[in-house]
Amino acid sequence: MSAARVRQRTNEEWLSQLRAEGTPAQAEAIEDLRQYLLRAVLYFFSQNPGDLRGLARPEIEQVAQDLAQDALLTILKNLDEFRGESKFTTWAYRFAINMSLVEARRQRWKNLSLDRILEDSELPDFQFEDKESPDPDRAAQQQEIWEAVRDVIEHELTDRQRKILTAVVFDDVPVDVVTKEFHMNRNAVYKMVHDARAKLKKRLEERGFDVADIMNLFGSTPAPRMA
Amino acid sequence: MRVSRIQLEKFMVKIARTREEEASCDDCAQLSAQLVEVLLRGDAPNEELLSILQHLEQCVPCSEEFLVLKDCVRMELEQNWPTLDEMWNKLDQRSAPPP
Repeated sequence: MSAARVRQRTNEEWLSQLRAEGTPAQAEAIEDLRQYLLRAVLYFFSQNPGDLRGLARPEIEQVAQDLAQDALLTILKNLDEFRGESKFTTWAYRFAINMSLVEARRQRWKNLSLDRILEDSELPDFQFEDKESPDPDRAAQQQEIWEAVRDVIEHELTDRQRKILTAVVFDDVPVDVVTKEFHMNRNAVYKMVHDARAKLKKRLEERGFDVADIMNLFGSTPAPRMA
Repeated sequence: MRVSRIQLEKFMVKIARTREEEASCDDCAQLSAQLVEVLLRGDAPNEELLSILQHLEQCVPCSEEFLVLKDCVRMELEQNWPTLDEMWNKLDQRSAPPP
C-alpha cells in the first residue's frame, strides 16, 4: 500500500461514498478504508510482536486481515456514530487499534490460567524499609501508607472488588480477560477499580495522608506521557 | 503474588490522582480521536478532553490504545508511515520463536 494509491478524502466524501450502496465509489472507498485499517493493524503488530511470537507469517497475515475486516464491518455499521469532531480516518483507526490490542492480549493470555491468579489474591507483605535505605524516615512513611492500603483492600472491599483490583493492578491481567471472566463490560470493571481507588484515597485522608504526601513519597516514577 | 516497588508506586500515584467522578472507557472511546488531533496540533485541551487525559492516566488498556492511535495519526499527518515491507521485516525479525 502506498500513499499514492489511496486517495485523500474529506470527512464528507468518506461518509457519502461509504453510504453509496452498490456504486463503484462505495467499493473503492471500502477498499481504501480497509487498506488504512490494515496498515494500522500491521503497525501495531510490528511494534508489539512479542504476543505473536511463534505464529508463522501466513498466520500473522491472516490475523491482520481478519482484524482489519472486523474493524471495517464495525465502522460501516456505526457510521452514524461519527460526530465529525476529528478526521474520519483518525476515528476509524481507533477501531482497528482496539481490536488489535484485544487480540494481542488474548494471545498473551491464552495459555495462562486465570483461576490460579484469582485464587492467590492475598497481597504480599512488601517492605519499603531496608538496611540500605538512604532515607529511613521516608521508607517508614511509605511502609505506613502501604500497610493502610493493604488493610483497606483486605478488609473493606468486597471479595469481587478485591479480586478484580488485584488482578488488574498487581497481576497485570488485561481488562478484556477480566471482563470475560467476571461477565462484566469494560466500563463496569473500570468503575469497580475506580470505586476501590476512591475508597483507598478517602481512608488515607482519614489517616492524615493527603495527595501531596502520597505524591511526595511515591511520585518519583514518571507516568507515561499522553500529551 | 509478587509485586514490585514500581507497581506499588504507580498504584499509589493513581490513588492520589483519583477523582470523585471520572470519565468512563466509553467516554474515552468517543473522544480519543478528537483528543489526539488537539494534542498533535499543540492546542490546549478543553475541560472535557482534560477529563479524558485523566482517564488515560488511570486506565491501562485505554492508554495503550491511545498511544498507538497517536502514533498512527502523527505518521498520517507527516506522511511518514513505514512501508509494508519495513513493517513485515520488523515483525519477521521479532516474532520468530526463540531458539
